[in-house]
Amino acid sequence: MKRHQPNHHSGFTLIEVLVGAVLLSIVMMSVNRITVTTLAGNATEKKRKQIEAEIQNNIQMLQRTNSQLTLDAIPVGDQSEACEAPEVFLISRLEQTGGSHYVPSPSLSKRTLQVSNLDRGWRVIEIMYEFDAPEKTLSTETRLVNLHPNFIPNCP
Amino acid sequence: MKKSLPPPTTCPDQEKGVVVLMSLMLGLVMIAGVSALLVNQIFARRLSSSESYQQMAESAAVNGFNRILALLNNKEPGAYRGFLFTLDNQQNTAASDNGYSWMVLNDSELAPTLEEICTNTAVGLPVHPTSNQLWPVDDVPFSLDNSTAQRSDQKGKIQSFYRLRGYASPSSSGIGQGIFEVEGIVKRVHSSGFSQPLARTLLTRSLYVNASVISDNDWASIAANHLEIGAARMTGPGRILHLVESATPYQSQGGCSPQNRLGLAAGNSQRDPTLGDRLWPVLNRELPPSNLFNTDAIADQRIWSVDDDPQNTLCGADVCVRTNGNPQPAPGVTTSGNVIRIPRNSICANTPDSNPCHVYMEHVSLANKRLLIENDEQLIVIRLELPQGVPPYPGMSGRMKLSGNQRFCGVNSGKTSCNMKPERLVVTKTSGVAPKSCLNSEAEIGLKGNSLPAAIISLPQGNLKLTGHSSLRGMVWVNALCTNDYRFTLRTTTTNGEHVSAAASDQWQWPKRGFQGLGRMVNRGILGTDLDSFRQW
Repeated sequence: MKRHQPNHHSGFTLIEVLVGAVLLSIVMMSVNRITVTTLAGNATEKKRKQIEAEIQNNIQMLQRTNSQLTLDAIPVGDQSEACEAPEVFLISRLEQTGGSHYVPSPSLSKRTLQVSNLDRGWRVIEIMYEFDAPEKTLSTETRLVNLHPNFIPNCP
Repeated sequence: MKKSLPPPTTCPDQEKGVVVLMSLMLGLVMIAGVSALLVNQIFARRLSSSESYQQMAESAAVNGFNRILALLNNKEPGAYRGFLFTLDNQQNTAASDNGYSWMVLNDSELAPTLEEICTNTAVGLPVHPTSNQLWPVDDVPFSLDNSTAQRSDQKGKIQSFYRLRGYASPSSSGIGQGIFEVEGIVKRVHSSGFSQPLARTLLTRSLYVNASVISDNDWASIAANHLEIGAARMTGPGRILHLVESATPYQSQGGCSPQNRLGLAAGNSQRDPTLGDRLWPVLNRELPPSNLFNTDAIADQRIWSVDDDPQNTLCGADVCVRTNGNPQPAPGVTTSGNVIRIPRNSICANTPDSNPCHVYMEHVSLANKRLLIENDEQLIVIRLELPQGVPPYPGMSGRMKLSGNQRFCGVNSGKTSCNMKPERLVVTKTSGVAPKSCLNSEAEIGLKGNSLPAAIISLPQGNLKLTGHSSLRGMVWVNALCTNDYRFTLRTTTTNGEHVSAAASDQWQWPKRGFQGLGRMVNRGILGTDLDSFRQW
């Protein structure tokens, strides 16, 4: 009598293969999506860091220049003009291309300098940085810096 | 020919569990890897935005500090608040004003006492943009305009604020290191008005607080601990600094009115309607020491005495000098009629003109003659000192008594008319008992008429008394000024129209020596003395 042997040639059925393929594709798509999002996020993050770092650097340059511009550092002939309108004078020096106190604008954001009148005689220099946020969910962002001319206390 | 396929390989039963385990492990590793990547990304973003907020908070703190400093350094007339540099402003629940001296400036009961007692504090503090909040201790937005939000997302607007957490003043005099603590805050402000703090930082910043006299109107042309000023008159700019020991008489209603100030200085405005306004009472201030006039000075090694009374002469001449022995007629000094001349080369002889000459005079009494000292080439300081540690020479008073129509003045070489340069002739005395009243005290300097036409008088321990109506061009810094009901006229400018203080500052190099002046002071904060420190939480 011949013994019935198990069928060792039977593999996955077509249905099993299709279900497996669908599941695998779903997993792969998710992983892909995560990967793409991650890569895109990295690029956005890099851009943001670049913008913020540039603004921070610019702020520090402005503050350093302000601290260096003491009354003694201003030519005697210009001192009365400086003391007459200190904020205007400092802005003119910061924006004077080629001047020794020139601080160029950052390339990735727009910088504006203006005198802000807070009250009678109470004035500061308001520096505004404006840039488009690299994230799609955010719009235009600003950063604000106030400066008080360092040479004012020594003015007569 | 038919090929037979090789029998399929099958996994032995004993290995089937291992395959399953490996598959599961592989899956687990993949899931863990993907999850880690995801978590890492999420945290990186959070960290990044948190750093961004922290930077905004640091900027807000620096900006807030600059705004406060700009306010305190404001030079606009009527908006001066530099006196705040002299007041601590730190929360202290044990104090009646909670430690916030700035906020009670104009409170009738809690108002702090300033050294410059009558400083106008009515200007107060700026109004906080939000009602019911106090500037600068409650969160102050940089702008109320929503368009200036630093960032806007679906949840709300990101805005920054500042507030002063504390200020430690250098001292009540307002000179030294002041320390500010300013907090920068970043908040997300929702459309409902609810705000959620996102980052905070505390900036600690120190600066040098300086006090100086900045205008001719504020210079003390007269300064005294004790004033009986009578019907004095000042021509030209300048103040009368009254160095008082208590602020109480000025703290009542109207205590700082010109009339009350005048009353407390025993004065009246009959001859000078501005006299009361010129009076400026200050606490805890001292007269400057006479070493203000020591710059590169050379002392004449002899002791001089001047007396034009033939009965009192020590050496047979009007002007005598002595070293260790008996007084001798001063060599080089000439007398012609009633004019006595001390030429440049007879005092501090053979010394450079650039060095001021200190002449010790133990006695000066002139009633009939004019004493002319050539001081156009060399600055002269007359020191009315008696020798220390030994009994005074008989007849020597250590004082200057000028009466009648004579003169004691500086002249140009070869000239007989007074050159009227008070900054070039200083009369001073460091010793004395600093009498607290005009009664029962002998005058270190007694004046009458125009007998001392131009000079700076500096007597930190002595008094100036009038023995008749008098006038003087210069400055008078004395322990006590006693007009004795005589009329005193002080001209505060040089013949060129320059304030005497300005001419003296140039001659004696006061700014270079760190002397910021005597008078009504203006406080200012100067950056650059120390490093900033930020604390985050």
